[in-house]
Amino acid sequence: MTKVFNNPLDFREQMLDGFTAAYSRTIERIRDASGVMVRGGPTAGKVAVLIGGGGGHYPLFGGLVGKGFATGAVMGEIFTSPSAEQCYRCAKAVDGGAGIVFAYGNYSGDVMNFSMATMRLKLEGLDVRQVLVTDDVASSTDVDSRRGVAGDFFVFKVLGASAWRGDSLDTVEALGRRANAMTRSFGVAFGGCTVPGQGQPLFTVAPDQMELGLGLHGEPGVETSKLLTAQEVSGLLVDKLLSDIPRGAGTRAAVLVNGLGATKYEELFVLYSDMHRRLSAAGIETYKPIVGELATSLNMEGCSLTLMWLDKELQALVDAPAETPAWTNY
Amino acid sequence: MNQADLTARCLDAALSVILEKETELAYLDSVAGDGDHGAGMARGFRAVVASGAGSSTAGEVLAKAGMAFSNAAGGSSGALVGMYLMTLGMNLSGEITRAAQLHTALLKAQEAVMKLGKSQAGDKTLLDTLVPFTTAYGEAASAGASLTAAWLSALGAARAGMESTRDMISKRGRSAVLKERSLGTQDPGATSVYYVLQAAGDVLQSHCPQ
Repeated sequence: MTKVFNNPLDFREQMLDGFTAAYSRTIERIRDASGVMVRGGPTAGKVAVLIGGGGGHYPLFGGLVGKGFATGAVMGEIFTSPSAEQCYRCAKAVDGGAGIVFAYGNYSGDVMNFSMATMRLKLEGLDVRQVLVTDDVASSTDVDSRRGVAGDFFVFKVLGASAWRGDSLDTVEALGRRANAMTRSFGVAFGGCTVPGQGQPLFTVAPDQMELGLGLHGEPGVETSKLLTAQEVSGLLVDKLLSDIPRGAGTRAAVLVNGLGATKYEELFVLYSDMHRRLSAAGIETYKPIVGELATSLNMEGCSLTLMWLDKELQALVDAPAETPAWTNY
Repeated sequence: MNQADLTARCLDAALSVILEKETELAYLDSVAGDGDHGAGMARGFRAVVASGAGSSTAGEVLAKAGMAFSNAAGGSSGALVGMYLMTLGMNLSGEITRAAQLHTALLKAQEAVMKLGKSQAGDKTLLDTLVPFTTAYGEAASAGASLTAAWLSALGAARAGMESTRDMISKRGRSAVLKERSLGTQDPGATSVYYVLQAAGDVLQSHCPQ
């Protein structure tokens, strides 16, 4: 249960306030809007990457803003997409005159609000592109209808790195789409999460069970299973992703083992010890694996595995330096 | 009472009824959503009421209300209800003298929501209340009913539409991923829209009986 809050109505604003106070060395608040941008604002002549979505997923979205990563983030109420007006205001704040890419997970509220903001910005003559993240293999067999989960991290990193090195809007967009096409995730959950101010968790999982393929907001997954051992969980996650390798993938993949909030680093490392062996045995070269909390769901118990299948160009963008509140690459 | 004030009064009543029903809406949304529908609607209508002053026509009040709602509420409901109010307002210019004028605006607003949400009646959304409401309103208006009389007579169809969502499987939004889980529970969006239409009907009845 989320226990630290004052008036739940003020939660987002107070969270944003503390976040910007703590990380003023890398980011700053966008004035009169629910969002943050890289400290000092956009760089003239560079494409801006504005990421965003509902709250409750830190470090998504504000934690991934900074040099080499997203130019800005628009941040909604807990699990609620930001409004079109907020997307619009944040886009205006991060615009460097070379076009804007909106990047976000594929959820209906986000699609509506970002699309409305896109229409408005286009009417003003700005060039705006949208890159939707659709990495969750559990959510649909139709690749384009899938929702976005931890794969956000890799797609945003590629977009941000491309924009920061000065690529054109067309190139940034194309690389972002390629990153998304090459990224797959699958997750499991052991327990629900509670929205601040609500007495009940959003959903529950029986103590001796787990949910396979559960979404970031408790959307049920493909099946309920008895609670598996770490080795069995790791086998399941690896097998799911190896049975859904995107066309054109090579043998090298960036790896993210993600904790959803209440499944901790030590548990994730236990999982990774087995995942690493399994991936290697399958002939996959794991590239700079990341084990940690990069896309959370408040205090949800669960974890996911994400693979972004690399080519030379995507790998260079993964390697590019970045400095954000939650992620630093030297 | 002039039409701008009357419209503002309807929106005040909308906020009151949403606050009154917030727990029920939260419950309906928790079955297949994240339980925040009541809170989002309340956030939206609070902003609407705060934005009310300074408009001279019903259309202006509604257009401003739509912008305020969508900005404050966020999420799908923010976008859809905001778009509905905004389009309704933009299609009502000047003084409303005939019930049919409102019907045209209701249709435009409904079409805008269908387009934005890529959905239609039967998908288990707010449209399941709005579409039968607008149809019944239009029929009453063309049969010669006053605006208030047409509105009140259409509430029955709106209610039936809302109740029909209980037996539907959601096709749009977060609850669509849950498929059968939404079966048996009324759609929260269809429900809150019905309460708002009903509250506005009460205001019309007491302040503008003709």
